[in-house]
Amino acid sequence: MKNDIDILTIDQVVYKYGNGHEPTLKDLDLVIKKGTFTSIMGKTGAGKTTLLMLLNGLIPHFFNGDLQGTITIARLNTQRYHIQTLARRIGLVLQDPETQILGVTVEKDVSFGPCNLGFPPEKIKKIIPDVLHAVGLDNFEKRISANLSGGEKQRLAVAGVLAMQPLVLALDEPTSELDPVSRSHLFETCHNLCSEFGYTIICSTHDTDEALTYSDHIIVLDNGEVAWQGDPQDLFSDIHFCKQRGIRPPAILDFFDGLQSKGVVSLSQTPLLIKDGVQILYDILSNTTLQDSDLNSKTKPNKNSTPIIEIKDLHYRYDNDFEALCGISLVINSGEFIALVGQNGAGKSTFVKHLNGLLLPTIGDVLINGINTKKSDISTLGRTVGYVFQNPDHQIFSSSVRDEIAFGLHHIRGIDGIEAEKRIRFALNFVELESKSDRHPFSLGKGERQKLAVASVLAIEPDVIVIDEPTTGLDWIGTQKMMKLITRLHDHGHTVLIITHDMQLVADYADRVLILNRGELIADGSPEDIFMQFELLEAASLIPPPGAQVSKGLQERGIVIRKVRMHDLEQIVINSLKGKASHVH
Amino acid sequence: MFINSKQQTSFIHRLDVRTKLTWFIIIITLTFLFTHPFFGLVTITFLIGLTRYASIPFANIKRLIILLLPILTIMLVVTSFSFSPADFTTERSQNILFYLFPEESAPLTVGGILTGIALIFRILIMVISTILLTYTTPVDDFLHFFRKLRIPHTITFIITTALRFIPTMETKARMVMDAQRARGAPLGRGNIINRIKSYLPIMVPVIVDSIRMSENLAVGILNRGFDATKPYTVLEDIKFCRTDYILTLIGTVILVLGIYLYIHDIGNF
Repeated sequence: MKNDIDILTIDQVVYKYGNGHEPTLKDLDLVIKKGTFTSIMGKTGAGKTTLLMLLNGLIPHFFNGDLQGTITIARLNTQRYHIQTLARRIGLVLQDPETQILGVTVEKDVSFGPCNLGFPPEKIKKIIPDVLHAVGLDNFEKRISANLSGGEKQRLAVAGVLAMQPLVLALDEPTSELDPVSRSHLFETCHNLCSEFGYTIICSTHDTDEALTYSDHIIVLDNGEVAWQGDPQDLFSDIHFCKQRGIRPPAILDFFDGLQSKGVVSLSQTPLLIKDGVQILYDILSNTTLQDSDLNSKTKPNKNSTPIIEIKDLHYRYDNDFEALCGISLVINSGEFIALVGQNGAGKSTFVKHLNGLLLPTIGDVLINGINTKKSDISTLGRTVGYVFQNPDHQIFSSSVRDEIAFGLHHIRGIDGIEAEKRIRFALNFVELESKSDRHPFSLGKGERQKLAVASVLAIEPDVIVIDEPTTGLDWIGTQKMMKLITRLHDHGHTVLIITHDMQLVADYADRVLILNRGELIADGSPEDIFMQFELLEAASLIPPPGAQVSKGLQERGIVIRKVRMHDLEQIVINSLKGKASHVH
Repeated sequence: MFINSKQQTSFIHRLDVRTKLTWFIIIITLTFLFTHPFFGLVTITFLIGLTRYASIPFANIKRLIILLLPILTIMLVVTSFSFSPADFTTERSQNILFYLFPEESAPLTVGGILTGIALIFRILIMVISTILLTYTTPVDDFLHFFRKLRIPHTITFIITTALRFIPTMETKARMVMDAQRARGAPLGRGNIINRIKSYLPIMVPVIVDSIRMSENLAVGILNRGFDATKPYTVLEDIKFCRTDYILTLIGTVILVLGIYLYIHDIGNF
């Protein structure tokens, strides 16, 4: 019954931004049914945000441009009504929750919308606890909104628009900056709002697993057009289409697709969920002798390598007496590829800021190349440890790409002139931005600005490069490119330390994993050792990578495999099936 | 400071903002009427007593006073030497202790010292009563007061939003600072021109980021139906209770009494 009503129709819409050369949205025709959960997917720049801003009238009322066609939401033509009027029909939560929160306290923020709409006070006082409950922020009324965590802010932003009691809730990449647990929590919240409270949800996202689990309908945008729409199962079953449109395919399907294309197995079905994949794999492997060799797995780091960073009983206490790090000791050797993982607020950024002297230990010591950071300064330490920050826009201030790189080179290394020119050219070549050295940094795309930030550190040639959340906010294509770039940095001889929430990337690329939880180092070891300890991961609110989930599933069925990289699992299957063939022979 | 005020509830916290503002104005007026240091001392003791009662940490007051100390010292010295005995009416005030310069110029008069002390007390009274007012009054109360004065909603809204974004901007500035320090940016080193130039790498990203944020903020505000209906709903309002009436009355009596005494020239030196 509920699926029979069209709540939203987009009819032959073409839209061009005021300063654009060609339309951002081209000939769009869409219908969204009441009470459904729709995900919008596609590459960065495909037009997802533009589409969402079209729905609540931001386009054409706030962003000028050239709009043709009609958009109707709950029988209102968006071009004829104010954004504020449409807010009763559709609530839109944009990407940066920081700018969506307007109240000093949680309660004030939630009441902002309903007060603007002129709801009676008694009604508003009833709504506040209701919406806070709906997003899982019970009893948060009196909290100061600036002090909330990233995940809480994101949920407060949702509560703020829910309080206006719209029919449709639209979210623009709501989880891009959240850790895996906060991310699935937010999706569950939206799913509940849809299934229990009857809201229609429209959500743009890059998260394959969540889109597959929670949405009823998926719309794929590509270059401003609807490239595909339909059932999530159907979309993710077509792995080649996904890859082509910049959508990360489900890991397990990607794995079987690899085996199939190598002619190792032929499948009659397409597993999308890990548990289906485990069953198929079990059927394949149960009749073979397992060929579990380490020959083909990633080469281990050289054991003879020299320690480059030594951390002894590091404690750090902020001015407000919050102990962010409580006694961390470890040694980082030259040439390692380390991933630092943990929940939002676990102390990851605080930790890495000790590696180049941005922060000094409250108790304990950090030795960089044998030099205590307390007895050195950032400019000197910067020659050994380079730090690429999460948001490249926090460092860009020059008017050309070249000058941006020259800045650190001049201040850290004291290099100018011809030598600097040589290094800048090398760094730009390395990150494949050589053709853009005279461009203004802000004219580059987000992915390119991130590469520029990497290049500006690379030019200094530090032994260790720390990269904070390199793939946050990137689509799947951007993520892969960035990881290839980081791998090349590692191959080039740099010791690499990345902070990330993406456990699949950690399993695939890192050779050592550090887990921080509430300021303590609760695990330090190879991905194989760490990702198979599910209780440990759960304690740190981490979700095991797909490879570890497969191994675990097979272990439960009696096949003992301890691999966490999909690539290693593939090798085992290939070798085992070869072994079987030779047996038959 | 605005944010903390809701969490503690002393008698002063619960008073209506208008009562507090009235008393604030009365106290400031009285300090201008009575220049005798004794009056200043009594008022300061009274105000400090109130800050203790409202559990405002003394460290906050101390910090401000330390900041003001150099200025206060200069004021005391300058005033002490800048009056001639003819400026005063009482004999005691006309007393000259010594001359700073030869040929009887720049005399140090008792009256000058007393004027200097009175001036310092006046500044301290203003500082402490401002602290008292802002610490015990949530910013919303001021905004409600503005609304009663029929100041446009847009203006009061800008004030609230600005307050909300102070911590956000602080965090942003810190992140930019870290990013540039990590690249060896020499912050605040060298001569004055270089020092100003050295902050360019901080200023540019912060400003660019603020501009980007302000557009997002405008969108965020529209998404929340700002200005959709007039009048908008007011959830909480300020209320003038019995205590407020009584206190305002007492304040007014004191003020009238003060003016009477002032006209009859009592309380000066």
